Amino acid sequence: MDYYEFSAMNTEIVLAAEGDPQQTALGFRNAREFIEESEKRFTRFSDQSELSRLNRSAGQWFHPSEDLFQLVKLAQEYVGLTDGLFDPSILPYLKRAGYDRSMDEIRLNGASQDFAVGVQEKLNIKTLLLDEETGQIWLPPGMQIDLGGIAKGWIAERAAMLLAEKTSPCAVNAGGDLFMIGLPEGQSAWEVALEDPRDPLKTLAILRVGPGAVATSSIMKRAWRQGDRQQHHLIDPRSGEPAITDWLSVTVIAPQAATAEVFAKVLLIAGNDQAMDILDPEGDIAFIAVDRQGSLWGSQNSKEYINV
Amino acid sequence: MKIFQKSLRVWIATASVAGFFGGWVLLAHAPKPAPVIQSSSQVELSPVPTLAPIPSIQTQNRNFQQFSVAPQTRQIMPRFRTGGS
Repeated sequence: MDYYEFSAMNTEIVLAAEGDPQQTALGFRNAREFIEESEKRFTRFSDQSELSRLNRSAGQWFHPSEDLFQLVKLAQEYVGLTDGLFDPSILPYLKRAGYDRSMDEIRLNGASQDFAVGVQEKLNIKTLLLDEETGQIWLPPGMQIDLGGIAKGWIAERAAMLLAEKTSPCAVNAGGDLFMIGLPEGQSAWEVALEDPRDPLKTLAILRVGPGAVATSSIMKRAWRQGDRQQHHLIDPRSGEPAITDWLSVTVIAPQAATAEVFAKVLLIAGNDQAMDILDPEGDIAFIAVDRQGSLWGSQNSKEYINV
Repeated sequence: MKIFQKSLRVWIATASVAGFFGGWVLLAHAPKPAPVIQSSSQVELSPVPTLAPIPSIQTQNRNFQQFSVAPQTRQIMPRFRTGGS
């Protein structure tokens, strides 16, 4: 297996593939270009990004690229599938919590202490309109969206597919959001180390997963202090505040990367009490949660993936 | 004094006997209690209050399972890791 690592989307990217070295190198190059281009288009931390232009166009129809249209459409579908616990229109709340600049800048200079940022009333994401015929998006005046909870997984899956056009088996790991195609030669599964959210250098378990996606959401990594409050980036749309949850991280195994990323976030927000209200116990989504004591809890169908 | 004591005894004895027979007559002429005509199926029982079962500490949610965590002893860890970003 050949590996290729670089930084993008404020995280570490690892590409992996087997096969002809020239084709593998070409696949790596294509996948990297796609990831870097997608980051430029979908980041909210650059005024020049396509997402920022969409947010500035609120109140009028916007003609996005096909990728952005599909991503926003997908995001709106997950709003319905998660009873609104996934909501890309929480951006005002995220800014109010101090996350109005990139995580790199927060780590360097601290978060915004301006509690007046983004205090306007959040608008209902269902009022966002998509015109399938013209491929346009209409945001209600004042609405701003953040694709942070879905884009990374979606990009990882698309990058893996580009890589697979050149060689397979292959995989993309975008900061813990993985998409795998095929199986490593002679292996019956891909092995993924499950980090301890209290100490990322430690491994709690080894996951053995087939082709498909794995994603983890944690309240420990994108976290900061705002005044005397400890904040994190997972906003509960019901309260408008960083979620208060009994779990530190949730890892989801699912057929699609966007599904895994969205449900990892939503299950973490839901916590122990409500997680099973969201998840279909007969479905193909499995999850493993880590609580504050470092104990592992899993859905009934997660047993086949975990090796502790 | 003796006359007074004897008179008191006679009065108590007479009053007791008279009271006994008076009560007998009174009860004999009192209305009889109504017979019970409700069958057991017609009787409405008020619900008995119960306490909710206490959830097991081991399984906070019956749809979850807990995995025991053992220190990883493998020399080489997988190249891929997941833990959020």
